[in-house]
Amino acid sequence: MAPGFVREKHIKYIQSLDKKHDELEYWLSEHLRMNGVYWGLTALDLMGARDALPRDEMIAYVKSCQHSNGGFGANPGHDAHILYTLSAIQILFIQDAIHEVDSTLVASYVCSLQNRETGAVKGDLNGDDEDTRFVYIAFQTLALLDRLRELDVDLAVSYIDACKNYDGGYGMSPGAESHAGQIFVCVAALAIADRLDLVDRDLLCWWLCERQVPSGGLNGRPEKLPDVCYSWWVLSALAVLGRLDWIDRDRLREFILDAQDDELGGIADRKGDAVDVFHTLFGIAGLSLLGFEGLEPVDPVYCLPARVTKDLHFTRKR
Amino acid sequence: MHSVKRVRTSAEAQAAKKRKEAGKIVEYKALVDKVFTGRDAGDLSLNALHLTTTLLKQNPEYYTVWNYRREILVSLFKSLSTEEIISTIESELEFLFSRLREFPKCYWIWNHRKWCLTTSPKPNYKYELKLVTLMLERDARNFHGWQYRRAVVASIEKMMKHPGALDKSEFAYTTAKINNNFSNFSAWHNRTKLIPRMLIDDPDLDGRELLKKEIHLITQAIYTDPDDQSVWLYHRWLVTSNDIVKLSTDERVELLHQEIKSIDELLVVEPDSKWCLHSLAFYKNFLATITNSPVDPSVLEYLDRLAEIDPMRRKRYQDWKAQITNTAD
Amino acid sequence: MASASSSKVPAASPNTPPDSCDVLVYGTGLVESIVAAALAWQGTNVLHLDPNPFYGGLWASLNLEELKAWTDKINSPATNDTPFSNAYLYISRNLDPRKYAIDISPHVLFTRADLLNLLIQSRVSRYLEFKPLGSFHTFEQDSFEKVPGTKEDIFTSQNLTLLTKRSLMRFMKFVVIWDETPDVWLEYKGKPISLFLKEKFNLDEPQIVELVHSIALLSSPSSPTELALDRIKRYLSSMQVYGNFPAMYSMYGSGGEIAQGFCRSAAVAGAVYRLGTKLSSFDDESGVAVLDNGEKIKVTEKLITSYGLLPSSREITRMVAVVEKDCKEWFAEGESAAIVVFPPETLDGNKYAVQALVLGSGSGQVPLGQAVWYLSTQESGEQGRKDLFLALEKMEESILRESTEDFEFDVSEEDIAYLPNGMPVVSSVRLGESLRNFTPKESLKYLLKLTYTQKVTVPPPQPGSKTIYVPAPSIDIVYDGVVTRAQAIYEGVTGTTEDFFEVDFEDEDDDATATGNPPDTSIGDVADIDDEELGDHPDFDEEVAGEMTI
Repeated sequence: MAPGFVREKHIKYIQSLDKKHDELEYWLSEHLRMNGVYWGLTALDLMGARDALPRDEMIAYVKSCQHSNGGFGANPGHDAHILYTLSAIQILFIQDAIHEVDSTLVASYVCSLQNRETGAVKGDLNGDDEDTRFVYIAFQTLALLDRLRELDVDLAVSYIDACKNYDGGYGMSPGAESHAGQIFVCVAALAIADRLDLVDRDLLCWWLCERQVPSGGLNGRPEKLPDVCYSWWVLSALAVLGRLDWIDRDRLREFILDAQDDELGGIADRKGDAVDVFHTLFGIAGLSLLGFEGLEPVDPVYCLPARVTKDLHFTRKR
Repeated sequence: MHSVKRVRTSAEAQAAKKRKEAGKIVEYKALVDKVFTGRDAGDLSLNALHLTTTLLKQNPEYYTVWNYRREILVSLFKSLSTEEIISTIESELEFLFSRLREFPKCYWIWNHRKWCLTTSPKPNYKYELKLVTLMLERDARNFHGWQYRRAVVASIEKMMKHPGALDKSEFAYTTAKINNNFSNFSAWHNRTKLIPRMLIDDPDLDGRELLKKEIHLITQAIYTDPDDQSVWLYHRWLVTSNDIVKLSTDERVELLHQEIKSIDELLVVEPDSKWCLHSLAFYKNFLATITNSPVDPSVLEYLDRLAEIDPMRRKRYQDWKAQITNTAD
Repeated sequence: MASASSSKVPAASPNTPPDSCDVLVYGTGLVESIVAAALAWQGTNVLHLDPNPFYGGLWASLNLEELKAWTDKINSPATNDTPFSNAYLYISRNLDPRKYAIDISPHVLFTRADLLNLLIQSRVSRYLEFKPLGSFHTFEQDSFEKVPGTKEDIFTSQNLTLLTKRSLMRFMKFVVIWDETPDVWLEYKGKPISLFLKEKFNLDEPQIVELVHSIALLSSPSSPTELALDRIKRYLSSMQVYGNFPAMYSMYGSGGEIAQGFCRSAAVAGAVYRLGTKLSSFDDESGVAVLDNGEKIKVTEKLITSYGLLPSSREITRMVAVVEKDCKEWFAEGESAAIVVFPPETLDGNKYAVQALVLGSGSGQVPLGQAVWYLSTQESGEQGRKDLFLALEKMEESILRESTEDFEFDVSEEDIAYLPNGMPVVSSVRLGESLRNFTPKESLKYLLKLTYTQKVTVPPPQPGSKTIYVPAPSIDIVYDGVVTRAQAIYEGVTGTTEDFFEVDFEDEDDDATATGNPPDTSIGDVADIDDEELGDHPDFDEEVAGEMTI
């Protein structure tokens, strides 16, 4: 029998994360700090505890990571990268503080990463690693800034379409194998661009619902182990495509609750493993999509509290 | 943390661990400080390079340090001869290989490796192909590995000015991977990308013949392990897509009948096989669609049975059934 | 002891043995040596003697000089105190006797065997070197079939029908959990395995033969179902433990080499060793042992001996042949060993299976370009020898045609499978078929031939209270049962098995590689990336390579 949802402990766990200066792991994960703040804040917000972390300090921290080119790094002094730029904007969006940064500058940074021939988006200015993840990130960042029109959305959509495989899924670039994480970003990107008509809905949802394994958890590719973070990647795609009931929600809920650390809080990739804030967010977001009592609804496209995104869905049409 | 066991330790053990880590933290922070001070001061020396080596050995995810390393290398190359650049890149690749063996799923290492090769005046892509073969021997599903493999193959073909030059050998490679363990969706997937290219590149290749051979191969796998979903996914591609050869409706119908018969025979010995039942339902449904005829009533029975033996996806089977019944009405 | 051996026991104190000991172990065979080491580490005062000048007792591996002396001894009723007899030995001239290590009781080790765990736990494995054994062949209709032991073998097999593939896989999935699913087999308990496989899994004769004789290594198709299932599981659960092979063997000799490793461990723990020392008498009442030089030793606890066993009426027949051929055709790539099984009724009406263990020069037992074949059967007397000679003849024919290089044959594309490294291989079945009528031009040169008989022995009916008898090596080619026997003897001395090899080695040696790691099985490490190891990419012609370096 899975433990109940240990809300208070999860809140404590997230609050404790920035106080672990005496652990080597804290210093070894500096390159993820901005993501970590977004994961922690969103998880708290979904638990109705957004104020558990200090707002003003957080906004100041985010601003301290911005570069003159508009992009954000993972931590002060770290290089700008689109991965952290999105997290920064997401944090500001949740905190209703977008006006604290120059959105023209951020948008121009993001747009400068698009390959104007293929539509693909790279991760940073010296990178040549084009990836569907970055297309989604560009879409979301610009949508949050209400500047999606500054990107060549049609070209980017055609790039996503080129990543579609015979199984209805999407890979990280044309030719690559379907992967639940990439499917989430592609489906969500197409949703932002209002192009879900390009998705082979029944076929893809079949592939997605087959991710549920006998333990109740979801995996990311055929014949792989289940992992709590796929509760988000797979589930959100199914939610966007309106097929959430094609999996067994009760079994998945048990799987996620089982992965909690019911003593010290936090959620792991699966039962018995060490917890981290990444899996904590995606576990909670997954539970939220499953309609778990006491959690705020989450937006499956943006992975943000639905409360803050509700207006986006009307304004994003180009 | 992926797949790291949670361990409960006593307060004493935790305190001891922290004492032990305290020294390491001081050392690590000092190293990070040194690297960033150097970068801020525009230090692009060999010494600075060595410092990044030490840091990246401890933390390969430090993307900013990889960027700095790139800046140092670019600057060093300006004063080096072509031979020296080549040998510097070679030792760089060696360093990266040792990092990849330890962290085969770290994006930044793979990226830096790609950058090294595009920067090298004389990239040895043949070696890269061997390296990635080795990486895929250790983990046949590593998608970074497969991704890198496709990139290396593309680079080789570009150098040869012959797109598709390696299609056949890459096809043989997926065959070898499949023979080694056919529960390898990555290898089957790569086949779906290679076969259409092979047919374009080699006009003598008979698509019908190839399709026949592939069906023979996948049938062996299906009978060996009907519970493996990767083989059924590939089977569906072979039976329903036009990627290998554009079949006429009559030919497609014949193929479907042939495969339905083969799965029916398997169903006799494996009456509870989910994938047998699912494929029969799927192909009979598909048959009805392409021939514009009503769906065979047996499909409804299969779907009822599937809802019973695969309750996690019961709703999907119910939706499917409703769709058929509604169309019939 | 063969000179090629890698492990050396510290020179047993050549001077005087102690006046007394807790336990006197007589004979350095495998079981006795495990017991001696276990007792020595537990703190017992052990004196370990062997009448022979070499280690290993009935398990020894011998160089050719030692082999000659040994055959003379077992042929002479006056001096023969072993279960072996009736030896015929031929050795060709001009062989360097020290370059050979001939096993008198050859054995192999499944990777999921209790002995392997003990070797690792006791750290004796670090004195030894193990090599993989992945090729199991069955002799069928004049050719050697590679036994399909994995899902991949079944998938790639060219001669199994689709339904047979399914049946085999169903059986393989069942057999790994057979002991948890009695409802499937309980009604067949005590009944022949062949009946069970036929009725419950629809398997055909060739697959039954392979499963029973090659995979389970059983002699008769009427072996009881539960025994056979246990043996088949042993093979399958051993696959993939350390690589794509189910078994291993120790370099330079089997049981004797391992026994010597345990002796070395015992010596480290304080046991005293003496070879070439005979026990003249032992008084069970007083515990006084008298050695052949007249010395007297007071044994306070027990005498453990592998001598003084009584022969029963059953016997087995063994043969050793050294051939001037490397026999690599029978080995998997990079390996140097194979097992070939001749099932019953394949050699002019043989009642029992003939098993052959083939070792190439990579085993350290024979020089380069040669191989040693160990054949054995449970058949006795003239019939036993006849069966072995017929099997030898078949092996000779097979290796001659398979090793003929200029022989041409037709292969179609369907007959070719690819190895994981991309190397194409021809299906051995097709090869066997197209070569069936091939008559060899050359003949095989035998450098050594030895046949002998081993009697099955039993302990004397009324063992003394202080004396514990150690059974002789069994006919089985595997070590199963050795650890259990050693533990039973250990329990007979200490009254428990709980502290059997419960040794904390941590202070003794900090060498991490020797603690928990499996023995070195020469599985290629990925560390050293070089051309040889990786093999070439298929179809990667030099022209391509040349262009690329531009």
